[in-house]
Amino acid sequence: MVKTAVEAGVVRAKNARQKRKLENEAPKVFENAKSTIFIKGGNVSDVITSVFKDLHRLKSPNSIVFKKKNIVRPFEDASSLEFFSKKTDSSLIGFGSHNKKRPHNFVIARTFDYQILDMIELGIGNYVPLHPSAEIAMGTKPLMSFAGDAWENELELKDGSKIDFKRIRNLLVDFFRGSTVDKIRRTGLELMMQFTLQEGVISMRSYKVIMKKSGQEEPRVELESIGLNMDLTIRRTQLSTPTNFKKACKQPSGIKEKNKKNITKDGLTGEVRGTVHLPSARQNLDEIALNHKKVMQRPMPEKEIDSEDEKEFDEDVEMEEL
Amino acid sequence: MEVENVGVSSIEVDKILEPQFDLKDLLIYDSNELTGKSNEYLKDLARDNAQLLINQIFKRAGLETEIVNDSVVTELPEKKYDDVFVQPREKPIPKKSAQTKWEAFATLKGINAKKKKSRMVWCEITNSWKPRWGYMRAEKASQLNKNGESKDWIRVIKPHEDPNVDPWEKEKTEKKERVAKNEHARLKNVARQKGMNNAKRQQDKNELRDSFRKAKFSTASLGNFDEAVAGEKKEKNGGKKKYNALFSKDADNESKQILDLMSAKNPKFNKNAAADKVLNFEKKKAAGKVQKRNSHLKADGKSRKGKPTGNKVANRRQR
Repeated sequence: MVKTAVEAGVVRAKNARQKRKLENEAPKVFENAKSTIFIKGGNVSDVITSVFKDLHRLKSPNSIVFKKKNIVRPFEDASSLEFFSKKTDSSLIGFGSHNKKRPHNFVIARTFDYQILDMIELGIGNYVPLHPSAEIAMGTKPLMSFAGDAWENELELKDGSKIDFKRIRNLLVDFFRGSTVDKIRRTGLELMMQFTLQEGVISMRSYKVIMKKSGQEEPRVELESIGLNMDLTIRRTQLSTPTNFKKACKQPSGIKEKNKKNITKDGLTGEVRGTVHLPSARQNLDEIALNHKKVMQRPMPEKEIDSEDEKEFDEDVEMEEL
Repeated sequence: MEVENVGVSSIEVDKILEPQFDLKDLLIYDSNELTGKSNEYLKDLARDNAQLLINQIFKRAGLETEIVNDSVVTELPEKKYDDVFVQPREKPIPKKSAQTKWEAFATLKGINAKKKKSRMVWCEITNSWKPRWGYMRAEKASQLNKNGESKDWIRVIKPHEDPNVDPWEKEKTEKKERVAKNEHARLKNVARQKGMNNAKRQQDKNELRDSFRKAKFSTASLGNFDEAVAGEKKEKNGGKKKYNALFSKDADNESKQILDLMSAKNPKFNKNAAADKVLNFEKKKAAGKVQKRNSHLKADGKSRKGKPTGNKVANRRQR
């Protein structure tokens, strides 16, 4: 039995409320939805505040916007971000700042065990805020598309360091995907976000999904621009080593469904087929017991065969001599 | 409702490279080359990709659907944990905790957990439901008389009891002792758990081999005539050092390789890996697992053994 630290009595909770809080924040097999904190730096532009407002709206209720400004330099010392992450039990951080050198700066970071795992600095350009008339429900799970062949590459910079775009794509998915759900309503598929990478600039475009009748089971999809568009220039990155990333990605044993090797499901008809393996050495097909008299003597049910079918029947069925 | 673009073409999308899907997170990874930059091009591209995703969800992935409260609900497939789609967790995997002493005893004896008692109990005296424990509990009502005064104002001393002992004080101290005992037992269970976590770390293969070697050597015949244990490898002792041939055919290549390494523009120095190593080292140091290297040398690298022998002759002469 896997008990939490609280259940085992290692961490003492003084009352039921504390106990509930500790249980919620403890490591679990099936984790909670990742919470996000939006923090403003020493100086913030109205683009940043607008972006925070829109993203907060999309990610509520798993989202907190800090009201006060915090003078933090994430790429120099991210310890205060880690502290905020621990206090609010959030593993996704969005830090915004604005100065002459880095205008409209947006840092996206994620933590593992309250330590920074990956961090990327983006410059926001051509920002179109979310239209106020756009009716997107809070906490909608977006459809996400990453287009372009640049996502699969690694870019080598002048100083020899590499930017792994796959990891950046992974980070963006983590940031925007919302909570993990088992089932989804078809009508709930109303938000589409597309990320395209060209020449070091990620173009993010958001749309509302409109489904129209197409005469078939799958609907005709049309998109409506709703704003929340930005061109993100990749500035600096601080990505964890592959070993640390792998450690963080390790899943507990209870999660993966064990693949039963001898059972297959036919995709077309939906029937479930099983394979039975016979040790051919032991079963000699010449010597199968066929002398079960009663079964063998039962008359076969008569089948009506048309003249056309009879031809097919004669042609196709040529039993091989065993 | 109007039917848009009747025909197969309205929902079909042609792509040169097949895109990858992860339907648990509603993702499509399209690695086809981009041929434009304008917002119109991006919108068309997005529409195509959305169409592909919707096609998958509605029909092509063969997902289970059901109708819940007048809306069609699709059951999403399991998350893909392959290198392309796996996402890191928020927190590490929960550790298994050891059984407490009572739990071990209970499983041994086959004692099952008690049933949970209800919060509210019927109080006969006040004719109302009262909590079984805590504020305004039922027990207290039975201990008070009509005026709210405690019924427990007098106690009869039994013949074997000491008359000078205050029974209420005795009750209080006994309760404190019981609480302390319980706390002590809890701490013991905690310590047992932490001890188990440490011991679970398996002994290093080399450590095992080392101790086996020592044990073997400590026999009378220095392990020479011992029977071989299953899985025991023959020890390699001694042997000459292999030197490369003086004149090798590949001499040019070898010297070239050495020169390349020495003059490389980008040395094989991985900042992040080095930083991780330092962090791990500091962690180990904090846990007291780092032994001092070169403890036979002083801080400046000189031997601890004493001054070089050369001066001894000179010193003797001076005397």
